[in-house]
Amino acid sequence: MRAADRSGIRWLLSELPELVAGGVLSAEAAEALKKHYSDTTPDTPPRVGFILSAILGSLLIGAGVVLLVAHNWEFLSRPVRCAIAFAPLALTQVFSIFVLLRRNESAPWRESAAILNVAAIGTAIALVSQTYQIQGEFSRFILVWMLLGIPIVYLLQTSAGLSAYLIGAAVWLTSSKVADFSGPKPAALWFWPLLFLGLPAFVAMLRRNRNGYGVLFATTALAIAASFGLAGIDGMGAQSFWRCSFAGFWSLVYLVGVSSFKDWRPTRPHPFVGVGWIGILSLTIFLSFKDSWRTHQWQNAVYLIPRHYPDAAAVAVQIAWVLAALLLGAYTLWREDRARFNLAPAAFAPVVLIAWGIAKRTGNPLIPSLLLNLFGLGLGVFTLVRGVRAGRIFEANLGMLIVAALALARFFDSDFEFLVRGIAFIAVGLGFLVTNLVVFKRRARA
Amino acid sequence: MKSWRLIVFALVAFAQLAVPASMIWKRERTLREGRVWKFRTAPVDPVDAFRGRYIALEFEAEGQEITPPPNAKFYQPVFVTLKNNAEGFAEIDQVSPAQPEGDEFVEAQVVGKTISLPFDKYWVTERDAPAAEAAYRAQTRREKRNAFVTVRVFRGDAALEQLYLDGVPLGEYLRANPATK
Repeated sequence: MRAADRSGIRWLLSELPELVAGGVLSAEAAEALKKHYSDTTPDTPPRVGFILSAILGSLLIGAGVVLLVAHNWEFLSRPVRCAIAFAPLALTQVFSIFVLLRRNESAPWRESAAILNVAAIGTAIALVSQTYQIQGEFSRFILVWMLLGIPIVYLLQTSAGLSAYLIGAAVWLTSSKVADFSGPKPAALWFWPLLFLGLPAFVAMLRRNRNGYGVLFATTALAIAASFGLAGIDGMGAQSFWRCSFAGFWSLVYLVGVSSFKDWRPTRPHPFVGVGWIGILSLTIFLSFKDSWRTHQWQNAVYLIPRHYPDAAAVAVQIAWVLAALLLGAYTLWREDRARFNLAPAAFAPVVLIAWGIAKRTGNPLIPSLLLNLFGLGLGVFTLVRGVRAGRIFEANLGMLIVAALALARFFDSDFEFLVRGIAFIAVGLGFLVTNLVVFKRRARA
Repeated sequence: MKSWRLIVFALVAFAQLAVPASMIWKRERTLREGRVWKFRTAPVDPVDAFRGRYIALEFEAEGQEITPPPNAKFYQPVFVTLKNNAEGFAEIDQVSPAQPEGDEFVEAQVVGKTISLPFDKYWVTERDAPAAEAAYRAQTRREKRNAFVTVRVFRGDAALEQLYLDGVPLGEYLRANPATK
């Protein structure tokens, strides 16, 4: 049984007396259920806490060693200082071999060994640099560190290590020296191959335990790193296309939460669903302003097929994200139960793509912003109706909230009279009250 | 199953050890075989000079106007050869995009019409840091310039050897002038 189900089981067991009292279950059936679930639960000890404390402990030890070493002991000769630099590295290597041979089945052991080893690599390089006054760019140091650490992620199957690697890729991207003070930075494209180096490990982890916290950490790190990567290549290629690539990004985050982790927990959705909602709504509100489509860069925007290396590659990466969102959206629409998931937010990617196309063709900011307003309104109303029909208070209110946020946003860029604004606010407020009333009544009736 | 993991791990471990080891080896060779050059430090903004645990160095040679290679971009890597000026301090001689012959050249970067040398940090120990900061500031003021570093140069690598204040190495200077705290 998955560890993830334990909270559901606890809930079920606590409900049993009430169900028996209400005559829903016979006492025997309740007893049988209790027996069935209590037989299986003790097999899965609460390991998440243990793994977390193992990771935390290793991190603290690693940081402590780094600080000790960073003191830069003056009375030590160069060879001694070098020996000190190599000692933690050699020790963690021995420790990793021990874990590989004897404790390979235990996640806490593997995570600890990996973290200590990766920390030791950075320490060794940094201490040698300090001892020998070796100068160098920070980004290069990060890159070498990452490349020496990534095999450990594969060998020790560590989710903390993979997360660190992915975040490291983002750090490398932001710290790499710019070729020029402004303008394109082709080096930023190398971020994507770096990210790909971590992907097979991620997929393997996904296969092993999709609903574990390790995968959640790694997925979050992947999403954060990818958003940095998308921002990093925006200066190249079609300079206004970030609207589409980030619409694709947030739709993808939402869709991954909805369809790839649909068995996450029995009582609540995957965190990515919530994060996806926040991303999609924020960007929708932003793009619903007319000013967000007013840009000087429409003329510079690369025509359909950019021909030269950095631009073409950058645009390809951006388009890949939009395409991935569209494909996963279509797949989810086709395969999954539409009553179970709200797929409307995923329409964000195609809507923005169309809006961008119109903006690029006409150069007029009005129609694209109007389109985004319609999308926001439609999404709000759809979610509202869906929530009301199913008697879900939270969803119904979310729908109302979207409509309210959109209404609020329109007051910023339009000069309606106070009278109109007042009436609109009253209407939205009434809407909230009525929605909740309707949903509660339906629930009571059901 | 386990044996291939061990073999791969052995390779990875070797690479992990090899990277810092190769840094040491390269630097040791430069320190052993490289020729010594003295670079006089440039007057600095005292507030900016000290960043935690290292001194941010700037050199007179970095203010020297050079003729960059045609179409040179900012931060483009170039090869620089050196010469001594009348006072015995290093100056930039030639700047070229291709690697010169011989062992005495440095890899540096073009910044407009000047060169950015590949050494700009001098690490000091945590305990010495405040004293070193005060001493370096005192010795690099505009009216009193008595700070220079020795650098060994060998085939592109430039190994910062020692920071001298008032003609003596930093450590000795701090021992002789404890009051500069």
